[in-house]
Amino acid sequence: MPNVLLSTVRLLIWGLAVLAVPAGLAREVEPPRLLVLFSNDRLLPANQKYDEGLREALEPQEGQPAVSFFAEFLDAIRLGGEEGEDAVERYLSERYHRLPPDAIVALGQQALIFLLERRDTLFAETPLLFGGVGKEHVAEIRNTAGVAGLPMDFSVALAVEGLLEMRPETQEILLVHGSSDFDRSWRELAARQCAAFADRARITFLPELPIPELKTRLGGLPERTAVVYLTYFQSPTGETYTPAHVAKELASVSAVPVMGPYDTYMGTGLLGVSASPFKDDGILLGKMVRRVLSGESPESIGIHPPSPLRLVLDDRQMQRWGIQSIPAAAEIRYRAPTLWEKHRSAVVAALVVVSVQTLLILGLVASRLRQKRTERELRFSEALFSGVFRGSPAAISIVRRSDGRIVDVNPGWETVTGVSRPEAIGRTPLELGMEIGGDAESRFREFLESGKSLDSYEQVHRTADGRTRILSLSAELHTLRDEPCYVVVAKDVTELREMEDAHRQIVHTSRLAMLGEMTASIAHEINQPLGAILSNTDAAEMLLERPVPPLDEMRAILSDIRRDDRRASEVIQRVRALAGRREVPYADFDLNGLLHEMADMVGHDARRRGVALVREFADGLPPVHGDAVQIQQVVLNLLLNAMDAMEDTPVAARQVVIRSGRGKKGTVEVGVADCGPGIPPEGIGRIFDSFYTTKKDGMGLGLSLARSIAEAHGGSIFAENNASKGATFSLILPEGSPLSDDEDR
Amino acid sequence: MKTAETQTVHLIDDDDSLRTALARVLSAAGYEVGSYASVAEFLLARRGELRGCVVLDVRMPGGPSGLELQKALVQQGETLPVIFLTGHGDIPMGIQAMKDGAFDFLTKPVERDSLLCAVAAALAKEEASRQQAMQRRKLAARADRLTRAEREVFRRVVGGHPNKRIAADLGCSERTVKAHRAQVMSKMGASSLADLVHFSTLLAQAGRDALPPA
Repeated sequence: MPNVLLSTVRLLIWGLAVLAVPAGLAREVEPPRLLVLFSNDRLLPANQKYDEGLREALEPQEGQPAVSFFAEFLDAIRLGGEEGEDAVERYLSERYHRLPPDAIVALGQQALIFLLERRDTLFAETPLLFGGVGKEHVAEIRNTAGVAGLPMDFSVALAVEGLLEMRPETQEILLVHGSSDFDRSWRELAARQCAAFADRARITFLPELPIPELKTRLGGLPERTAVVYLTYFQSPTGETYTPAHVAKELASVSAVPVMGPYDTYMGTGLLGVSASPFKDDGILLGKMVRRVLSGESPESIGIHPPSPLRLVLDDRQMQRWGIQSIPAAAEIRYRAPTLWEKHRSAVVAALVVVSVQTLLILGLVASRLRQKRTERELRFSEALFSGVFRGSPAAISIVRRSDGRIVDVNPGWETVTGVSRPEAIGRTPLELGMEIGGDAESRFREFLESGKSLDSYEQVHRTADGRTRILSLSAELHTLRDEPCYVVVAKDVTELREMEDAHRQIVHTSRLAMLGEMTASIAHEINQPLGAILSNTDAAEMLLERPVPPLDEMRAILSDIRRDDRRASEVIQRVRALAGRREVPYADFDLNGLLHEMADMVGHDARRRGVALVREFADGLPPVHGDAVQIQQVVLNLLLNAMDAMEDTPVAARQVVIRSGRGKKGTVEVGVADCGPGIPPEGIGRIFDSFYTTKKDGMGLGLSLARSIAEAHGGSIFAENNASKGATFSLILPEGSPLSDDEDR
Repeated sequence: MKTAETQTVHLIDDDDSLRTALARVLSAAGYEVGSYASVAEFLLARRGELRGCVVLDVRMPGGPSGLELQKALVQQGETLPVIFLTGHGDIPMGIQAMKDGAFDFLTKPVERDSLLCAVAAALAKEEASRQQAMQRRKLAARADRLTRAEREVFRRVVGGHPNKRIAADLGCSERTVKAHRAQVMSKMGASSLADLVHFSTLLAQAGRDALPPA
């Protein structure tokens, strides 16, 4: 009764105060005030994360005023107790007397209990919201007026379950907690949550110990045990701690994996946690605060169910503990880059270094060999050249053009080839047995005669001990002591190519395997119902020959036949849906632009294979109407085919010409001509057929696809052998017309 | 030959509708059909000695595969012939099955005539090998009753040796050899030398020494 009286009186005073101040006017410009009372101290990571979420949700938005934040800290563990709380009450009521908050948020169990217990005297009419409170503790306040909130699910059950799934051999799980009231409140909670796992592992609580003793205990734990760390705010001797910091200390010495129940423990060295992130909860609660501030009553918002828990694992710790099986629902953080990713960047970096060196060397060689220099410059450049020549890890050789004999080699060359300098000088690479292939001699002679330079041309070489290495060769012709000589810089790209090949092989085989598997499984799925239909028909025939055919059986057979027929046609429909074409709206595009792009794209590959790419594009072509991506595919396919066709062609003769021009009657034409062996006579009629191929590891799909694309565009594609050598593939496409866009509609 | 009514075909296929259809054909042809969705089901339902033949899909998802069953049957010395059903792409599996001792393999969809022919041939083979096995068991029991000296004489008689030489080999009189020989003939139930030679061949096929070592 006195309470009712008191609150009535206060209501009156409150009303009078509102009347006394022209509040309506003042508040229109003043942002609403939110007081957040934290249970613990300011630096607790959970507080910071929750606060971050709250502020993010309450950031000023359009049509929503900014919120003025006030934060207070109960610091219940260090400064709690009745006396401490009385002091806080006096402090809060005095401090916020003049600027009372429009809403209060209690974060954590202690802050909520504090505010509820003193609600009669402190902020009695102010809407109260809470967050970060275990769902077990909110049952009794469900019907309290003026209170809304978002409880949290604190549970180690998911962590224990995940642990047992990752390490099924675990026989004992030790639970660790500190000595504060809050720490101890975890004990009962965790015991209840772990009861379900009692048949899979022994659940034991470690006694409350000071940190140093606890560390010694965890460091000496035997195999087949694991630790679940709850909270540690206070030691038995009264020192206070931040639980996440304790997590870090314990995880660093523990001989077995440690799991925990808070998101803020992630990254401290724990294997994982089962938690819902504090920040996400902060955002959710912030939205509830926003609703209260815009006038909704806390009762209408009510107490929400807690966010679902997630099992979050630390990838680095999983590697530390050698964990192979990952629980399906787990979220993985701190994922380390894979070996391939690491490796690739290292190789790329090494390549860049070597390329820069190669350029530097070629440049220096060029300058070294320029004749008209002053004596001093010459001496300087000679010293520089010989310094680089001797010191470079790249393999450099100087070969006389007239007879192909080696004039000099550097130590890098000796390392790569395994041939010593005295052995090499005066011999040709052929005599040293480095060149491979029956036509090596003619290829070498042709190259010397051509006088062409090489840029990253790749060739297989044999070293002195018989190994084969892939060398990328760059060569330039210079006059040295009045004689034309090739300066050849070689880099060993064997490992890089092997890695690339392995990768490509994997992609290729897995694609093939997939195709084969799919075909087999479709065949199987159609064959089964067909077989059943056939046998049912057979059986029906046999039954009909009986003097009295069993009619019920015959009916059953007919209905089974119908069902199997449907089953077969469903499979066919599924396959058609799978292979069905995606409809892409056609548009006009510039053919020459597309051709330039594609030629640039294969440029690097062409240089590597020693192929000269020649572009002969006609000016003023009309735009082409179609799907540019598909046409790119066709052109790319033709260019790669052309280069593949010249594998056995001498390097000096490898050339691909890409042409564009007007064709007959409103068409444009793309031609790709190579200098390879041409199309064999028996292949000329079949080369666009599916699964026909002249390549040793080709699928026979590229050109057949190219033809379907050309035809879908209202064009065509054909191939013919050139008069001299090689073949030309021509793609004919209709001109785009200004009306075509309308036709599509 | 037994009549068709008493002969059993064990049909194992995971595809319900195909299995039902094949079972209809087989029972319309007058066979007793045991229908199983998996090898495991077949093995669980097994009671005592197996008779008849097995018709089995090579591809069986989960559990032991058709090929595994086939191997197990061969290893256990079962005489049950196995006919495999293979899909279009499973010819290599069918060939493997034949190598492992399968009786036949049929590609799906299965024509009635080829199914019934294969089943009839498999059942005939099973009947013949069962008869042979029975006779072998009978002969082996008889051979076990021979004395050591009689076995020595048996071995030499079927080897084509004349009595005189056998007597010299064994260091006894020709009369003794003749007496042993008469004992062997009567104990083995042979009425002629030709019978005796035939019996020794059958015993050899049974995987045991024609005569247990003395």
